[in-house]
Amino acid sequence: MSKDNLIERFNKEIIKVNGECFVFKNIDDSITQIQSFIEKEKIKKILINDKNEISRSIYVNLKRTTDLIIQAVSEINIKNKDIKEELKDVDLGISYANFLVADTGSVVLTSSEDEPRLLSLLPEFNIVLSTSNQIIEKLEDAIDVIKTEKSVTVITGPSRTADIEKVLITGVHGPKKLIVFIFDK
Amino acid sequence: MNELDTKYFKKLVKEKLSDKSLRTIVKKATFHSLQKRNETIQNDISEKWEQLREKAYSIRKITIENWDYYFNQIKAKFSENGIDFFYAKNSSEVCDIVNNLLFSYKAKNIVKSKSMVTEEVGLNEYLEKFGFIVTETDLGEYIIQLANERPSHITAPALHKSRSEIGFLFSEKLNIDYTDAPEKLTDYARQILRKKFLNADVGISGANFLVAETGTIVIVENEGNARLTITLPKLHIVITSIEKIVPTLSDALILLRLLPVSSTGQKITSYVSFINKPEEEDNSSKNLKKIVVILLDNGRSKLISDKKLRSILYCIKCGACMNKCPVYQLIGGHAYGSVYPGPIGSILTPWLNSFKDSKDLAYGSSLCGACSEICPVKIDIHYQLLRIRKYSIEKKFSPFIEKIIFKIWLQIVKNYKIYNLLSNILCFLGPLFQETGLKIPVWSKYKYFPAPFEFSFHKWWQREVKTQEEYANV
Ligand code: SF4
Repeated sequence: MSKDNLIERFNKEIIKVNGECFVFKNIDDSITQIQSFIEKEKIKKILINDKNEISRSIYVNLKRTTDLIIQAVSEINIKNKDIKEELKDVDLGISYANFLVADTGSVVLTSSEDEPRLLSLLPEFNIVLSTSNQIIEKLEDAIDVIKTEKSVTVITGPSRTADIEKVLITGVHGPKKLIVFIFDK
Repeated sequence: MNELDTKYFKKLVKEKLSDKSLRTIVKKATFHSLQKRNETIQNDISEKWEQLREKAYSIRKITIENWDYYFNQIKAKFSENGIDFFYAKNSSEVCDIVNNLLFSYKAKNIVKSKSMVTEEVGLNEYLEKFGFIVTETDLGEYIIQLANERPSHITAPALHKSRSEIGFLFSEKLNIDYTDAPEKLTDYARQILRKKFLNADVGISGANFLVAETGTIVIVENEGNARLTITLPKLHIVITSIEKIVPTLSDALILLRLLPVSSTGQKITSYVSFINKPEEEDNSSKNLKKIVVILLDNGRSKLISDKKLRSILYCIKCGACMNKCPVYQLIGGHAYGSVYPGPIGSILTPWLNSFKDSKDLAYGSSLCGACSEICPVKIDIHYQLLRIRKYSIEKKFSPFIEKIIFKIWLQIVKNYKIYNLLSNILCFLGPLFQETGLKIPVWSKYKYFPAPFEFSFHKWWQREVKTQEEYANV
């Protein structure tokens, strides 16, 4: 599949599972998007995995343009703080993906110091950053990573349940919304 | 742990059959899952479904046939990966292991994500006796824990409850205003359970697959409660049964293509966690969290050694056979009285529990074979039902009256003259019962027994042969 096809397929699949996806040519556009999201969902505190060029510049840009509390995972690491405590009142977690899976619209995250597992789990909202080069066709293509990492989480859409009369509800224990940003230069 | 026996089973079935609102709810829910499953198979799966089933079947077959090999492999892998491992022969061994672990961790608050094996073991009741506070965190499980009931379905535990029942339950037990809006009820549960998670000392979960090649624990879920259970507390205990092993990670990924489709019609669930090794306690310390895996046998290794019965353990616990079963659709999961309801429960329970007490489950079936047809790993479920019936006759467990009837029947069919005489008498009397059908004690309570025809097959045959001959001679 060509890159454009992969993006298109990913987008089609993630919509089916109540997720959202945006494709950006540059960081500035994504900042505008995040800002309007912050306003709409009344976000107060953000934690971001900043160990990467894209996420680092989003972090700095957000810090400069909003007066919310925005923290980077690396800062917490340096201060030796407990991530669980830190995440308690964070309402938006910004993760960085290892892979996106076109076939199912899934996000593959491996846990690390920069991407603690709770970052994509405890906050009410989760934005996942990634580039178009990271889209793989099927989950099978990530098998080597799944084998070697300590733990890998595959996320497909927001947390959901249908335990009451099969009525679909999103946001049970995990995020109510999952939004994927794909940067495609 | 089990209240199974013939009389009780019959009583439960009767009771559930007359519960009209239950029937409506169960039918609606099972149809909903089936419909979504069919749609997904038709529109969203690129491979041929039958080929996938074939692959899954052979993965499960190879695993179970060589179970001891993979069992040793996974044991070695767990120890390599720093995961503690226990094999438990029976339920009480599981309880003891867990109890010791909890004491050594000075634990008080336990959060649990769905694990049918802990239901089989009766773990919650056991732990509560020792003063531990155990909270089920899957929404469905939480609902039935509040109601003090047992899951009525292996993947949708509260399938039998209506939204208003849940509304009343929440308002009574959690002291909140009554609402039957599913979003609101879910939100309440989220808030309450989030606190439980943050204060939990230990998390207990099940597992969907254990990969022998890598020692990977695979957990499939939609709500995120399993992820919280395995991430937040410092000790994570996995409790599942010995047949959950699969040889390789790519095998697990193939089964993963079938499991969510079969159970909820999803191509993949919201979350799939692959755990190879314990993580650091938090990002600052080098203290590792602890992962302990407990595998319950409870009669399963005996099943594995029986060539005819071992296919029962191919099961990946998707719940599709329940959704499809016309009996389950009418009576719901509680009528079975066993931990595992529906077709898979009926073929598994007799071999795990007292056979004599639970063999009747195999008679609560029309043998239509819908379960075998839908099963993603192609278990010969309806043949397994027959095997239980056969075994129960061989072991002379059938009721006295049935034994007598069959003995007499045997004598009749062995003797041509008596057989003919009796069938002629019946045919002679037949027209008298044309309207009402024959009235046979017990049988006629449930089914219509058609009146005998006015002449026997034997007579018909003779006449037919004669006409044919005449015809040929012309
Ligand atoms: S027997 Fe087959 S259909 Fe039933 S739960 Fe097990 S895998 Fe699913």
